[in-house]
Amino acid sequence: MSRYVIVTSRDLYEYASSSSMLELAGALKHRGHEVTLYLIENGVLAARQGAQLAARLSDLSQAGVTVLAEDVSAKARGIEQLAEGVRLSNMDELADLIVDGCDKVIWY
Amino acid sequence: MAEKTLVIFEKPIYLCMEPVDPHLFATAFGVVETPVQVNVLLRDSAVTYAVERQDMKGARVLGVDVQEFDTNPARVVAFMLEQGGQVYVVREDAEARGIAPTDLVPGVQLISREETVGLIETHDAVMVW
Amino acid sequence: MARQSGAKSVAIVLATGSYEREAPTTVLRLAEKLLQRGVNVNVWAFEEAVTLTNKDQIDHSEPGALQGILGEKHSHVSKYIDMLLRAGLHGAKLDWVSCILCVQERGVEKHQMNSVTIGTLGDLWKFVRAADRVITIPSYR
Repeated sequence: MSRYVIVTSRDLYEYASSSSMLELAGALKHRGHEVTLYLIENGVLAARQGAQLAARLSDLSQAGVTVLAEDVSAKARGIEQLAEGVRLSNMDELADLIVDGCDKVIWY
Repeated sequence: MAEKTLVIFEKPIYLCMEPVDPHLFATAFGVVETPVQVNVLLRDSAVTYAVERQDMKGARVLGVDVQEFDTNPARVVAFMLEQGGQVYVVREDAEARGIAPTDLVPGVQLISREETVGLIETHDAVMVW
Repeated sequence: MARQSGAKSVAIVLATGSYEREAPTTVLRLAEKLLQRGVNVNVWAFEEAVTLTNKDQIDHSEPGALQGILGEKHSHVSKYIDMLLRAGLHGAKLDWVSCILCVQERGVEKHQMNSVTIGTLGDLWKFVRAADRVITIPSYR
């Protein structure tokens, strides 16, 4: 078992490849790894409550992936309500995850 | 002569060490300081530029604000509207991102994706940043 | 190879400049938090990222017609890098290396901040090998 942090800085709406990254998060979790999907920069756009892609994030959360959205990125984009299963985080928590809470970081 | 120009935004840029996306203030300059009639179409994820209550103040390095002046894309959108520019937002793109009409800066016009074709037809030049 | 908990060093590979990308801002915000935790941070700046440490950046005035919405001037990214490099003097260490190929092709080799090292592709892989965590910021378009 390894611990993964997948940091998604890209706009998931813009890149077709973002679907593969969400699938990767789910697949790693399915194989028994600990997975955090960390949304930052334009990555948080998918986490707004009511967004179409938010359902995929909620599904991942239900499957046991920890789904976090960075507070500064969300506030900058006027996102006040996050989708179900997505928790507001901050840069301190990301640094803690990188230093103590993971084995590998994948920055997308 | 490209007297009437449509500027299209697709990709939002935040917290890049400029007060706002430089393409956005370059467009605002066109609206306020030039004889060109500049109108703006926000589509894809750039629809977020028209969302109210955007707040950049949390971004700091060693306690120093990354953005010293309190501004944001919505403020520039409101400014362009005040100065006579038209700002259009693609309804389907806003909906897909969970953005409700009540979230938007007053005065922006929600239009359908199909209606954007008419905008292309009625402008002399089209710029996609 | 599984990496150990409690990382002591993090390598960050960055290839984008500021002013139309958020990635350098994020890297600086993250580097501060890592340094605070006593973690040594090695930033390897590649391609456009070598312009971040151009020492000739200045606070420029905004166009008069837009000062009401943009402010009078804004500061530049090298100011924040300088602050972090100085912060590193008092705790964990920040190394900032600009790729020699990238500074030369852009004509900015002589413009690099004093505290920045000009490095080679070999340094990149030394950083990667030595780091407990490797973070590569993708330069997507």
